[in-house]
Amino acid sequence: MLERHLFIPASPQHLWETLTDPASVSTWFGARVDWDLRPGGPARFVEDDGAVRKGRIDEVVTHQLLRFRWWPEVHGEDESSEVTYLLGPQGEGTELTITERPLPTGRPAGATTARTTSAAANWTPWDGRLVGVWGRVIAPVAIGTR
Amino acid sequence: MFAALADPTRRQLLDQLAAEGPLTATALAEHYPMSRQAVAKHITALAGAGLVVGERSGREVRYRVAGAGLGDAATWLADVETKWDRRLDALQRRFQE
Repeated sequence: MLERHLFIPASPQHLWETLTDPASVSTWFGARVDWDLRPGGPARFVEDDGAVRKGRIDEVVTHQLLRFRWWPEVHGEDESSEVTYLLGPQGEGTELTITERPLPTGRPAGATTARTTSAAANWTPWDGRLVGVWGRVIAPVAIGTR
Repeated sequence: MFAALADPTRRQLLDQLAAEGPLTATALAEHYPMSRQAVAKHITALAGAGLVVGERSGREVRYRVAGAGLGDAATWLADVETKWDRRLDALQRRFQE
């Protein structure tokens, strides 16, 4: 839902370090971060006003892509959103794309009518990749036959 | 993602869910001069963008705004934008020396 693009006059490697190394992050992010930069790795953020967020790393491609989810500790993971940092070399620097979008809760949305199909009811566990094709799959489709 | 909100009808649906949710597609359709199927298509697009979540309640599915709990999607976005604008300002300043 949110998307920002900016050019940073630094190499992707240098920018990556600034975006991910906790000592650097604390100088611009508005929070101190403590995270394990591997898929599934936990994350914890303490914002300057003291608010705590927890999170989890979803995807890491060093110097190129970081995708993580986070949520206010008091709300729990049901209210999580996903943040992406995408880095691309551009001339003498790097094009940085930042996105943040809310994540659906763990239960899949049912079919779009009250006549819920059994295929839709069986979409567990919630697979984030299905969200992208959700718009196409509004009729019953046996899983695996896309 | 922005495409999901580009349609003014979808923004209205989101506002309605924020104000009155959770609601079924049928209940939503009562407020608009369009069919339940048309509402359902919009809901599907909103769900695909992660803006709306369906919760099964017996044989019904009721939709609510995703993200900032039962809050307003527009407020969520405004808050998130403010925070990122601040961060990215600070990030850019770091590279200006």
